[in-house]
Amino acid sequence: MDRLYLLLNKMKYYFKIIFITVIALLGACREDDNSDLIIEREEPHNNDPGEPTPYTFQVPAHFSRIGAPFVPQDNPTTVEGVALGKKLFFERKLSRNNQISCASCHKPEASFNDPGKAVSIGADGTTQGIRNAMPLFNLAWTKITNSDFNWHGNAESLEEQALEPVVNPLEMQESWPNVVNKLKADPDYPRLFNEAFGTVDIDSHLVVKAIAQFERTLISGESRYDNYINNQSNGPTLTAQEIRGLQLFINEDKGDCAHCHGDQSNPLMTDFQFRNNGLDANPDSGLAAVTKNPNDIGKFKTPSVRNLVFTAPYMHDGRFTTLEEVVDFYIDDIQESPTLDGFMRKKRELTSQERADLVAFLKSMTDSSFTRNPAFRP
Amino acid sequence: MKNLFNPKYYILPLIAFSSLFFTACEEEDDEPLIETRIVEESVPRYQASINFKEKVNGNDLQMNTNNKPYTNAAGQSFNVTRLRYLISDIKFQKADGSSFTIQGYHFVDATDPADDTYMPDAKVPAGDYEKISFTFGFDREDNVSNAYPALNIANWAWPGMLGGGYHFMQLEGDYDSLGTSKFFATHMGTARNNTVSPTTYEANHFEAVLDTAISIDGDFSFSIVMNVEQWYEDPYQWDFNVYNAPIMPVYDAQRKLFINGPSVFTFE
Repeated sequence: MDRLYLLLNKMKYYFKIIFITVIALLGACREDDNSDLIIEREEPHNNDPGEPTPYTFQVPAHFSRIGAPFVPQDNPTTVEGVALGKKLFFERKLSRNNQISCASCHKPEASFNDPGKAVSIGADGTTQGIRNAMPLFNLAWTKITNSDFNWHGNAESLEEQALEPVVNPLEMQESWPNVVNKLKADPDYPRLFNEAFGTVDIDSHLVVKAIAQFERTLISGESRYDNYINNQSNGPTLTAQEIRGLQLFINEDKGDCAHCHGDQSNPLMTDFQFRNNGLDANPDSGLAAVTKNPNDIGKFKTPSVRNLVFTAPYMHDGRFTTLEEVVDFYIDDIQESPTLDGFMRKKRELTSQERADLVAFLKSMTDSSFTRNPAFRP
Repeated sequence: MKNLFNPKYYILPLIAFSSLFFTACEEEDDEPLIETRIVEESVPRYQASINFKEKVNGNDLQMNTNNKPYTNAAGQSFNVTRLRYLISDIKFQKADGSSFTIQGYHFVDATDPADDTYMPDAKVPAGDYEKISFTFGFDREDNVSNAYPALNIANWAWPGMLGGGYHFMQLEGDYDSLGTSKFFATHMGTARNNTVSPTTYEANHFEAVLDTAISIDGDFSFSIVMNVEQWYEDPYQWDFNVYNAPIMPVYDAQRKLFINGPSVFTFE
C-alpha cells in the first residue's frame, strides 16, 4: 500500500508538470495575439538598452478605409523614439536663444497650429514668417514616395521637413551643430537617444527622425462627422443642417469641395495635391519655387479641412479670419490667373442658407479629444 | 513486472505532447495556407506585364501644355491637365469559349510613371488565346464603396448620392469656347437617372475588347492604349459646351461615355 501511495503521489507530480507546461505553452501562443500578458524583460545594461519597443498607432476604426500609416523603412516608429520625439518637439533648446520650440507655433491645444496668427514670430520675438503655420495631424498617411510637405512642397518627408525650421532665419534661427551640442550636454538626452536609436552619438538626423516619429502619432479622427460616417455607432453625430452642408460639400453641382478635400471614403479630407485656388491674380510663386516650373506658380498644398475651428486665420498667408469669409471667397471672389485650378474656374452658386450649412458642416469636423489628448502634451 | 508509474515512461510522451503546442504556435505565424489550385498543375503559368499608354490621334498624350494642342470631332480645341482611370478583371479568352480572368484592379494616374506598368499577382496559364478584354471601371460586384484603401486615399470615391462606388475616370483640361478658356472635367462612374421615379442608379462600366490573339508560352507583356480623342467622337460627337463640368450628376453625359468607351482602347 505504501508503495502504491508513493507512486500515486509521483503521478500527481508529473501530471502537475504536464498541466503547467500545457498552460504555459497555451499562454505562449496567446502572447503573440494579445498584449494582455505582461512580458517580463531583462533590465537593460547601462550602455545597451536593447531593441526599442515597436509603437502601435492609435487609429480610429474607420481609418481602415485608407489602410495602415506609411512609415519609412529607415525610421520605424518605436515607443522610445516617440517619447524622445515628443520631448524634442517641446524642446526650446532647438532655437538660438532657447526661447521657442516646435510647439510654440504648433500648439497641441490648437490642433498643432498657431491660432490667431497669420504668420508666426521667430525666436528673436520680432521676425515674422511668411506663411501660416500648418496644423499637424494625420501626417502618417502622406505617401513616402512623391510626398511633399509644407505649403509649397519643399520637403520630401516629415524627417526632411523637421530639419529646416531650426536653421530658418525667420523661425528658430539656430544652427544644427549648436543644437547637437546643447542636447549632448543635457543630462537626459544621451540616455534617451540611446534608448531610441542605440547610440549616444546625437546628430541632426536622429533628432528629426525622433520628431517625425512623434508627428506620425498625431492622429485625429474623432469628431461628430466621424461618428456620422462611422455608422453613427458612438456619440453625437450631425445635425440636419450639417448633413445638408455635407451634401453641398460633396455635390459636384454645388460646393464640389470633395474633389480636393476628400469624402466619406477618405477621412483625411485632403487630396495631397498642389493647386492654385485663385486667391490672387498675380499669385505667390508657391510650388514653382521648388519645381522651377511656371505651370506651378500659385499652387499650394491642399490642406485638410478637419479641426478648422482651432486654426483660424485661413489660407497659406492667413488672409481670412473666418470660415464664412473662406466660403464666400470660393463662391464670389476667385481670381483668374494662368495656373488657376479648373475646379476653381467653375462657377459655384450657393444661397446664403447653403453657405451657412456648409460652414456648419465644416465646424462639425472638430476633434476636441485630439486637442486635449494628454499623450500629445509635454 | 514493469513499473508503469516510473517517470521514464512519461518523459517522452510529455515532450512529444508539448511539442504539439510549439508547432501550433509556429504554424499560425509562419506557415502560409496551402493554396488549392483549380487549374491543372500540368499547365505552366506565366507573369503578365501590362503597360498603360495614353495617346491622342496616335501621338503620346502631352499634359499641362500652355496651349490647346488637341481638337475634338466638334472642332473644339482642348488640352489635358489631369487623367486618372481604373480598369479591372483582365480576361484572356480562348476560341473554345473558356477563359482566365486576372481578378483585381489597376489604377492609373497618367502623371505617375509608377502606374504605367501593372504586374498582376495572378499568373496566366500557358495557351493560345483569341482575345483579351478588361472591365473599364468596376462591375457591380466590385464597385463597393469604401472597399479599396488605395482608391479611397486617392479621393477616388463616387458620391453616395450618385449611387456610390468609385470613379472610373477623371479626364480634365481646358477647352476653347469662342476665345474663352473653359474647364472640363470628364468624370465617369455610376449613372444616376433622377428623371424617373424612383431614381435609378445604372452600372456604367463596360467591357473593352482588345481584338488580338496572343499565345502565351512564357512571361509576356503588352500595352493597353487609351486613345483619348475617342471618348469624344465615336459614335457620339461630344460638345464641351454641353458637357463640361459638372457632368457627374448628368445622366446623359454618363451614358454617352458608356457608349463611346468601348472604341477608346487598343492593343499594342
